[in-house]
Amino acid sequence: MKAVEVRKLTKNYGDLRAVDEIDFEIEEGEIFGLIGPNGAGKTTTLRIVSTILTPSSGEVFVYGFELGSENDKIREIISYLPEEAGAYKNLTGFGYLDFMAGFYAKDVHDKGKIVEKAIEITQLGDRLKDKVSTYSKGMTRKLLLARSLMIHPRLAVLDEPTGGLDVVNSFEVRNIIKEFSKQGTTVLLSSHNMLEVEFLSDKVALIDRGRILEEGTPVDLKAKYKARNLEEVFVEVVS
Amino acid sequence: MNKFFNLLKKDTKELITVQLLIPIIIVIAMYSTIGNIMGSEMERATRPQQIAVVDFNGSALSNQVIDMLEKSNFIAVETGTFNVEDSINFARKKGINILVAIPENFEEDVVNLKQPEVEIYSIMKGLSVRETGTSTQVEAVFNVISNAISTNLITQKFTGIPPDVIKQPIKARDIVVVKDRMAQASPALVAQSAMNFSIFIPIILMLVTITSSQMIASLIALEKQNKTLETLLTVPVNRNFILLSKMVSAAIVAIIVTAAYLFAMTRFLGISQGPQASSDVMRALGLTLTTGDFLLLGISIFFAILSVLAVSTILAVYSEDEKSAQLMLTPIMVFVMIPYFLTIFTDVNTLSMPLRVLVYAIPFSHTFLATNNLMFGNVQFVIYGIIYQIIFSFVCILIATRIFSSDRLLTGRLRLARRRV
Repeated sequence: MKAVEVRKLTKNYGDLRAVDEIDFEIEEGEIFGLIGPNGAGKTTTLRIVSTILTPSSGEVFVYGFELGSENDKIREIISYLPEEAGAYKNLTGFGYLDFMAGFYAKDVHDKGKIVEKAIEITQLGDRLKDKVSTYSKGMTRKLLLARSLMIHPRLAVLDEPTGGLDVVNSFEVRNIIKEFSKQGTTVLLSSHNMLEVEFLSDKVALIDRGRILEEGTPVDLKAKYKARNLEEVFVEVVS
Repeated sequence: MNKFFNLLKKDTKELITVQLLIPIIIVIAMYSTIGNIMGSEMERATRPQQIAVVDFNGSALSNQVIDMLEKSNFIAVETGTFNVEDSINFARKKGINILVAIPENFEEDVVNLKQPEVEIYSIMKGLSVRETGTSTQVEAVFNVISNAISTNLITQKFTGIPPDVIKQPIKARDIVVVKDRMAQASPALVAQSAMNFSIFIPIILMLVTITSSQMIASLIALEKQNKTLETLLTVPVNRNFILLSKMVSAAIVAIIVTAAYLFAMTRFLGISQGPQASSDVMRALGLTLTTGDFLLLGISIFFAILSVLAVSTILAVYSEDEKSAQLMLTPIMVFVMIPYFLTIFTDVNTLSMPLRVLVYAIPFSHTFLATNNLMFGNVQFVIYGIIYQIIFSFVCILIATRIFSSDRLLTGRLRLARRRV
């Protein structure tokens, strides 16, 4: 079964066409990277797949559930990490994880297990007892990543997962994503850091001005355009 | 349902912050302190007041005047000197702020109807409100003396006639009429008795509506400001539950805040007991609320809160952060204040037709007007008001839920800023 199927997806904001009839598919357990510059349409695509925005036209299926008519079912199996996400500042890190786990857990025991998993992912230890408002950007990002992965979602939608993080934090976040992918979570991520996407992704789509210009594995794309990395591929494709 | 309570707990926690609690605690403490000070000052004011007296006449009449002062809640202290300056110094030393000087030919002048001048000195130490209260005491002293003398004169000139009959040859009997009922009471007493309803219910309503409005706007705006909204929209919970949770927690916190402020105000004004003495008059006039009336009032308050929550939600969706959300609420404040002031200072029925239509179009007006209408038996008017409030609330809630289920929740602010794609 395909994890995600996107067909002729279009999104207009008034006169502005943010996404223009794009098509792509993601296999189960795959890490799929959507790469492109700022304003290319990455965030809008991710928001649509995550059920936050409604498409102007086109079809989206997540694990066979149709976007629009089966949004509730999609929300139960996905997890979304927005690029500029924050957490409730008057809650502690632990309080935040406990609150979010409350939406997925079947009972108190299940909730405890979910939060335990999140604590393991964050590696924040006792700092989880502190209020989120005292966290650094890196700590907040780890907390949010843990929140999105603690439920072992079937599809994790990650918008710029390492955006604004330093080298060490980015490295740790990338390893966490890889680890979860190995455990069966399908990942749809976006980034304008093409080297990062090349390292993480099994398959990538190059998007610019709302259109997908090229799609394939990093190895195939590099070979096709005789490039050393995806950055060179993108420049070649756009030009 | 668990998911809803999970949201409700978080939203309520988010609203009950130190920033919210500190001003409430300060206001309660401040009002309680001022109330206690005022209470003790009033209690002191009712105690017998000391006044210094220097009697240059020493006649039977001047002694009679001093006796009357003693009987009228004053303690007359003889200065023990016949010099005004020394008497003033004496009063100052004793902390007395009024000195009465009875002139030398006092009795003789009174008998000959020459209107002798009794000098009343007010010894002021400052210009505070307490000092200005001295003038009331001076007036009281003058009235006591004047009354004593006139009683004496009348007794001498009209033997066998009670002096009060000459002083007040007629008596007034106040009768208040309300519809087909009447009771012996002054309109001032009735107005004072109705104060709990005519003043306090509008204050409660104003506080609840404005606070609920601010609370829900804060909750929605904070989700945007803290960038938690997007995540919340992807969790497996019905979006209407997200909205409902915010409305319920805003209403809960608003009621708690209002109760706290009301408690502080009753402590300040010392009227928590209510006017018990005049309750018989109010009952006789039918100016009391029955259980049914209270039920209608409760329904009206409920729908006023619901309306304000729904309208505030719609406005808050278009704000970017908490500050802009509070600005967005300005029209609501105005629409709450209009009926609030009108019900306190005027009768809406005396307004011109366009103004009346405007007032009746504001859903909160009907709750502000409900108490008076229920007291005066205009139940039908209150029921029509509630029907209008129900329709208004449901239309607004429908719009709010539509917005909450649409992209506008996320992109509403984007019309003002650049779209991020």
